[in-house]
Amino acid sequence: MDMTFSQDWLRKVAKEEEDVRFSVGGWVSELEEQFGPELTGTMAKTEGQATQGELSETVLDEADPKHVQSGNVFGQFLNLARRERGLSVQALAQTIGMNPYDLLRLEDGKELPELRIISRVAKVFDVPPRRLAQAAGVVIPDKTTALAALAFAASSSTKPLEPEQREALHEFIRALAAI
Amino acid sequence: MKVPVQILDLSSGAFVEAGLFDEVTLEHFVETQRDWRPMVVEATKSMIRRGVDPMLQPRHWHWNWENKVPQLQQFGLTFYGIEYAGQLQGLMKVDLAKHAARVTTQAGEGLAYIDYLEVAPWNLREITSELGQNQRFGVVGMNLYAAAVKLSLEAGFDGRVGLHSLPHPKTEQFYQKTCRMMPLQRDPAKENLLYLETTPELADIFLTEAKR
Repeated sequence: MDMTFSQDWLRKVAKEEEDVRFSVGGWVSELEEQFGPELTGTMAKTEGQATQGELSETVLDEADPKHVQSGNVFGQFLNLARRERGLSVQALAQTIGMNPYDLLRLEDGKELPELRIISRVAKVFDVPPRRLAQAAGVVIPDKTTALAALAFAASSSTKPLEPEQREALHEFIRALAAI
Repeated sequence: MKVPVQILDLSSGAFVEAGLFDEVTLEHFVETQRDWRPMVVEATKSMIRRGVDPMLQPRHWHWNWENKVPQLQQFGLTFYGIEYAGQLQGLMKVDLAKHAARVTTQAGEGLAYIDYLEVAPWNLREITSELGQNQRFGVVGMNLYAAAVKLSLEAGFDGRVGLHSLPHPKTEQFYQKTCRMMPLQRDPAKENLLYLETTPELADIFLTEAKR
């Protein structure tokens, strides 16, 4: 896409747009649709220059502990869904824009996923990002999602993908999508 | 995709090279919440204190957003952002799937519908002047609009673009005069906002002028 324009024209536009409300709609809803009002509610409290990482931590800190101690749900989901697709760690890491080492740490549950990573993972595996974020314990889940996450955590392991694991994975995806 | 765009640094009067990108993520929405919203809220509070007509307050710019169904990965939606110096300067959402041209001669043809377009509050004079600050960058919104025209061309929609303008005379005139859009109707389905559209011919005029 060639976005080269004449500077004379741009200067003229800058003059003409001085009192123009060059704005359509807003963005609050985008975030709420994806991750729910509980997230934006928390964000409203995080004034200042919090980084994305700090933001995630703040959200997590305010969640009920029982919601985030339901096992390495996100890591297990990542591991099983990746293997089911036949993707190597490197291939998936490249797709979602992170390094393989960090992806392995996520799969192992040694790191909490950032929201943007959850969003990209949700896109790759075609699950609702908000629900995946809830299941991962990054935002406070509703009861149904929490139960689905607990069931998934209880049924999963890091052993080779067995038929029952495959079924558990599919059931989890169905639960996320259906809610 | 990331391509260079020129935006105008209003403090120096010089152009600086920003980046137009289409890989918008949740992090960018977070940024709008974290960095943009407080400034808009402060400007609104100030206007309320001054007794400014509610219809002229920034909160009314966000009309009807509750009814949107935004999904980053939703079919037919393209998101664009402009970044400079590590800061998000503007965001836009374009829908290529759900809208058709309304101009009689183009009726039913595909078009790029601008569902959202917002520039950072420090790039809007109404906000910055309310807060006693200087507007920082110009032509961010225009670069986003131009990207929608280009996207329409790339998608095979011949440059057709549609949008609903905010209820603001100067803004409606700007879309007509500078963006070369055709005002069609007050849309009862959209709170009587003015709907405007380009035809392939008008898009061509717009892009030709932009090169001069």
